[in-house]
Amino acid sequence: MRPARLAAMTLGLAAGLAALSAPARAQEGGVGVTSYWVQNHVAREVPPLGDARRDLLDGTMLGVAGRFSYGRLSLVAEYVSGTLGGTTYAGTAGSVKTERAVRDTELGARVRLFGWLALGYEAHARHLALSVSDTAAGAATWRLSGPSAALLATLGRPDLQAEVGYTHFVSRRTVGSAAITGALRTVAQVTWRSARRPIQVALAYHFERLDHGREGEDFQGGRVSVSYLFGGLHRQRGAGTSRDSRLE
Amino acid sequence: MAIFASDAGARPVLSQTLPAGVSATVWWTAREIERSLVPSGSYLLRVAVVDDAGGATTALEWVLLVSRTPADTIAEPPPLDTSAFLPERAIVRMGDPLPMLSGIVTGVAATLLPELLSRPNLRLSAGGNGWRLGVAGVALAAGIFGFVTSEGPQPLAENITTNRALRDQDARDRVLLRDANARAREAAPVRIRAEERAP
Repeated sequence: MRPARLAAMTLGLAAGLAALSAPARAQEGGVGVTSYWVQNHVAREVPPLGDARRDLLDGTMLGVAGRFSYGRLSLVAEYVSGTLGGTTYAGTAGSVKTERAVRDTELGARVRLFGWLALGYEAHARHLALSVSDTAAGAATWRLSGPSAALLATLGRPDLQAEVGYTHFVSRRTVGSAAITGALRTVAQVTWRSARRPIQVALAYHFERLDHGREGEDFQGGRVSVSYLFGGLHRQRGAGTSRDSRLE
Repeated sequence: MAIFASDAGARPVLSQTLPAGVSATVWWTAREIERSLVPSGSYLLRVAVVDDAGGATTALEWVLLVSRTPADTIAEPPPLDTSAFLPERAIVRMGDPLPMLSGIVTGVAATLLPELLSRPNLRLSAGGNGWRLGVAGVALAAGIFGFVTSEGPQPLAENITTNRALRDQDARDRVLLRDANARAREAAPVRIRAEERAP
């Protein structure tokens, strides 16, 4: 059995057990908008010089995100798109203007095993349309998926939470581009949720490394998400800060 | 002789058999056999003669109308309201270092993980994103803020003892009240009127 399928089945089983054991009142959903200020660094080989060219593209991606939690189990869906651009040196051709129109779709499921640890599985699809000096240069689609782990901590208050996550993409399929030989992602995130209103704001730093054999690239940058929450948890937490509940 | 609740088909609340030729007085204290007072209502008094073969012939039937005077009891008060109790816990600042440590770990992760995990030939260019330091700074600031303002519940032993004494006293008062009401109900007068049963 392939490692990706085995990991998915194990996590699915764990998620099901956790969902069955979770209290029904701990349900919560959220929808929101996401903005991703991202830089894309690409290292390319230029024979016979070897690893001699680096592209640096940057831009802003915007999108929407949805989340649903049931007890220890939470599901996440996200879509962001945008255009990354920059000027790169291309040998005898001189400097060229390179643009990448990027569309990211993400689906994830994770189970909070302990208060400080969550395990999950993420599927990530990225569509890229490349143009060089306003000339279309092809499109590519990447489909990645793999297990993830996150360390969770409450920052002394119920409305502040920190998270450090790591995803290792064990399944990597590409269409229209070189094969991806290795892929990973790290996330460091701080989340604030209002005690009085069903609003949550998350600030995160995403880093993705993608290897194409001897070449490679990364995507990284700051990500801000604002979500509107619905369900039970926000009301419980909101009530927890009222004057009456300060003295139990 | 037997007394039945409402009709002869019911279970007798008193039953007594006397040998022939004996004169006796049978007392009914308006109680079920060795139990509490019967409720108000109509009861059937039946006197029957039983021969040696076991055949019974009804000789007399009367309806006994039992009415109990309502006892002078005291209504049980409602359970103690939460306002009667003192707060058993107070939210106090805890000064827990874990929030600050978590903020530091998150900040370090935002700063160093991309550095450690990026390709060696992209490491130089990867260091130029100001968002990394921004997120690390926010994580650290949030950790410090959480450390300074963190709150947690602290038990108040004196109030817990006082509340326990209040609950115990309330429980004792309720037991005494129930006993007094039971005694009042037992002592309440019972009126019994006998009517010949219509044929």
